[in-house]
Amino acid sequence: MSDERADGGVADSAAPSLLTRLSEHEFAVVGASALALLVFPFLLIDVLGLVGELEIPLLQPVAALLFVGGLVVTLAASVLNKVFPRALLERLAVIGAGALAVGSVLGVFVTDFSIGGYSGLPSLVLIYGIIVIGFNLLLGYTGLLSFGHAAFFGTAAYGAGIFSAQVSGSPILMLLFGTVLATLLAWPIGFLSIRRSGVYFAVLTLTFGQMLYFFALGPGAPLTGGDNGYSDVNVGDLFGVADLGTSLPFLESIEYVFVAVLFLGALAVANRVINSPYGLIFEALGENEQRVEFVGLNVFRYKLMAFVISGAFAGLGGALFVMHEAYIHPNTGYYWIQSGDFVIMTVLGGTGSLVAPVFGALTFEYIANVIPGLSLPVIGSVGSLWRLILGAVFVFIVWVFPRGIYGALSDLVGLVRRGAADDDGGEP
Amino acid sequence: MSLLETSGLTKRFAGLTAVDHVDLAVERGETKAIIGPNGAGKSTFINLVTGLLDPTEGSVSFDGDDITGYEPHQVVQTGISKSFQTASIFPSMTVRENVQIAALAAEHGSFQFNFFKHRGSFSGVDEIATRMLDAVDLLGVAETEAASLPYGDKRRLEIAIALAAEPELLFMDEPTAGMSPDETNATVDLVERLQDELGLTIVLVEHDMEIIFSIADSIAVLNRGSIIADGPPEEVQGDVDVQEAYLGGVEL
Amino acid sequence: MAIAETVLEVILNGLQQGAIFALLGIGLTIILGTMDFLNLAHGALYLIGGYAGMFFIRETSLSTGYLHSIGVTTIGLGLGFAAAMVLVPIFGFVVGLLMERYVAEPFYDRPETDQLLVTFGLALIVQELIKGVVGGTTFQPASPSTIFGISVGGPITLPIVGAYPQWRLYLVGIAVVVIGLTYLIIEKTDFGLVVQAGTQDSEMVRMLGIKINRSYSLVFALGAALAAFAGLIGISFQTVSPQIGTEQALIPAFLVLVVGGAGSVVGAIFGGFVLGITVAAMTVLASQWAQIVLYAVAALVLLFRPEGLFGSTGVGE
Repeated sequence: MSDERADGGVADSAAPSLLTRLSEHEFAVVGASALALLVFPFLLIDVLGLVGELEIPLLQPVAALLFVGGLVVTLAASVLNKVFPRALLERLAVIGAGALAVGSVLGVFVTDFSIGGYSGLPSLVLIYGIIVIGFNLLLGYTGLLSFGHAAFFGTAAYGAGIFSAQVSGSPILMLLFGTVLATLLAWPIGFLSIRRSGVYFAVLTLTFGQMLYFFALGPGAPLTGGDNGYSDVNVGDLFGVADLGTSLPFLESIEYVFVAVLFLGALAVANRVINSPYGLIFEALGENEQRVEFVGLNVFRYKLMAFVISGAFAGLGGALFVMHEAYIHPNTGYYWIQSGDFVIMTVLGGTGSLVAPVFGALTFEYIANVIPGLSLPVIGSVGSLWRLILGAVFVFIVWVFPRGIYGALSDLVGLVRRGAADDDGGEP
Repeated sequence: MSLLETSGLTKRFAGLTAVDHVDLAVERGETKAIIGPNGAGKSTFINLVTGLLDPTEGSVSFDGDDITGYEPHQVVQTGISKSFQTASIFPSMTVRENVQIAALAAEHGSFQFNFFKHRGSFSGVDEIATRMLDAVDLLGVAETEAASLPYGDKRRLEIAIALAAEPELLFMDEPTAGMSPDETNATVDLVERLQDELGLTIVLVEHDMEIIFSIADSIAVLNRGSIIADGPPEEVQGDVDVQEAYLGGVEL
Repeated sequence: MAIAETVLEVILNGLQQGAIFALLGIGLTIILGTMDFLNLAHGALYLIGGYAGMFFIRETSLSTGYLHSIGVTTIGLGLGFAAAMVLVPIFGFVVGLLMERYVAEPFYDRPETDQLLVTFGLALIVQELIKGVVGGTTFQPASPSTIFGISVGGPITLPIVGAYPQWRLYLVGIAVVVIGLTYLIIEKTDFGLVVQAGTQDSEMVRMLGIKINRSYSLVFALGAALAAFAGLIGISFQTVSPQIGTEQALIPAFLVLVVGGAGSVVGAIFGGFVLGITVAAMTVLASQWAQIVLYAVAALVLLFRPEGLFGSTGVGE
């Protein structure tokens, strides 16, 4: 009897690729990321003063063509593909996305379309990157959608902030305090929320987040500053010697280096978790929760661990956030929109792999920080319409590229590789 | 002492008594079949034993220990495993990983804080997984994505997963449902081999009478929640009540 | 007598708030119950209804937003509340039909998470679109002064409570009538029967050959119309801004769903009024804690009685 799902069943019995084997070792992952992070600030800040300056002839029209052409092709092909699925349309969509990406990057150097970012933006992106890496362990792997992770973000932020004002301004200590506080909070909230699943789980997490929001705004105001926010944050010198604000020649600032190191650490930890039995179990939970219970694993406890671990990451992010901004308000710390932003970033980047969500954080912060400054033909200054653009992009990704931006990019790479193999006359 | 024993096991759902004071015993090493018309309560009975449902009355004991009210994962850890009617696998993971999950549970129990330990250092897990895949003849496709397997292979993978939990007793819920004659024969051979090689006790829920009569050591017949016959195949075959339950008087 | 006065006032206010919650809850529950579709854009429907209502009722002056920037300084038809009461549900109905066809239907077979995500994105888009076009300023409530010619502005003297705005009583009355009508539709008509059956087991209904897709559109549109109507009532005594979709509507709607039980219209009605009166009471007693208590109640119900107070057993956890 044939199986309705059989798709030819071409057995991929090749040994795990080099890339896969490498990703199992933290050093490789961390090393590659470290290299990327050295270059990262360049993406967002005009560190070298090159933007808008390059005068290579034809660069501008080429970039514009790639950008607009890529956009049109991607949109058209992907929408058509939804209605009449065809391999050709799929390929066109991916190629279009590639052209779009290239055009965007080129356009960076010849137009005002980017690199208007302020210093401090790279750190912020990495901070959100830490949060979404952890969040994806919960969403992408274990399959639990939480709309309340701001609870841990905000608690760590307030905790670290208050700690720095009243106990010690040491960055390390305040980070530790905030993160531990958030992790401790994740236990009870997770314990209660995980008793339900699906939308009820999501609603429960949202509920707890909102409770904290109104508490911080109202009854908790003596501690948190209420609607005025908390601004007594007093960040001291790192290790007692280095002022985080000191700027550095290529790497933007000491704070960036500090955040980058912590980001790499978070990446390593997450990679370790994924390569441990937990990674396998989380993934299995996302695929077929009932079966996991029936092989003898305590599903509840593993879900709780996923929740707590992701809460810890969110906590680290929150503590870093307050260190970075030196200010925290319930709207930023606890409001459901913040939780929603984490969801958006993660999905935007892609839930399929470890680093994918970071691309989402990057895209999100790009849209949030750079786009408002743009002027478009009919509408004039984009300003606060950026959230509209964000929403549209988000819906588009969910609809058409459910594997997110990273997924689309890796599809493109796979496409190119397959194309090259075909050209060689080798096996497709 | 029987390996598995239920005593007065009952499940009521708001007015419907799905399982009615069932006393059943399964002896170590035997293959027992549970049969009955649709709606007789077979699935409910299995769900009660495996912990998915809590009984309204009665108890279940395994190897002398009372396991009534245990959570499903606890039941598995005591030594009872179940293979599902539909191939309940993990589609986008590899065949090997599918079995490794179950092997993990067998190796280190229902929960560990080992999220920093590298997977590669669990040699016991790998060994079990390889053995099970070999037992169901899927070792050759171990690195394939599970979703791309043909349906018959998925069912075998399903069995491999159930086995990797290293059970003493295996529930098989309609293992040959929807299979071609060839696949059915292969599955029957597999079941017999499992019994011989691994010394498993098997409880089989099946509708295919031929299979049952060829491999079952004893048959329990369920009708409307109660056991109406329980004994060796020849005995059950001639039982008047059983014949009536299945369309009144049809010879088995 | 001050306590009795306060209590009655709380109850009256709570009825109005509760009616809104009930309307929202009914819409959400029939959509979830019948199509198993998780609609995080339900609040957006309330938002649309509110703004549409505001523009049907009166001329509103704009000070920000795209329309303002191209020279449109006032917008609105000035038709009065009565006209809005008819037009807003119709408008909501149409929007619901469109939404079902183009957003919901493509996602019926997709995983639950995707449904949540796409409707969440849609809610975001609607909110930002309204903010961009009409402006993000907060508009004053649009309380009616006449309905169908009857003058309803001004206070009416009630026993014990004293002076109480007349129009609020009228609105509660109208809302209760609408809720009652919806209940009758669900309980007494064939369409309602399909909805109920679908709530219990939509697959069975499909297999019975009943044209379920047409029913899906109608269910969705009905839910949308109810949400829009709730928005109209909402703007009569609360301020109007783009955030009300989520703050005043979506989250309470889900809380009502949780308390009342998925798929149960009666539960939504009961849950709506219970939560409405709770909010009204807390606002008076300790307004800082009002919201917190609201969420705590919902969390407690969700934890200890997951089917809600009226939910059918066997509906997914």
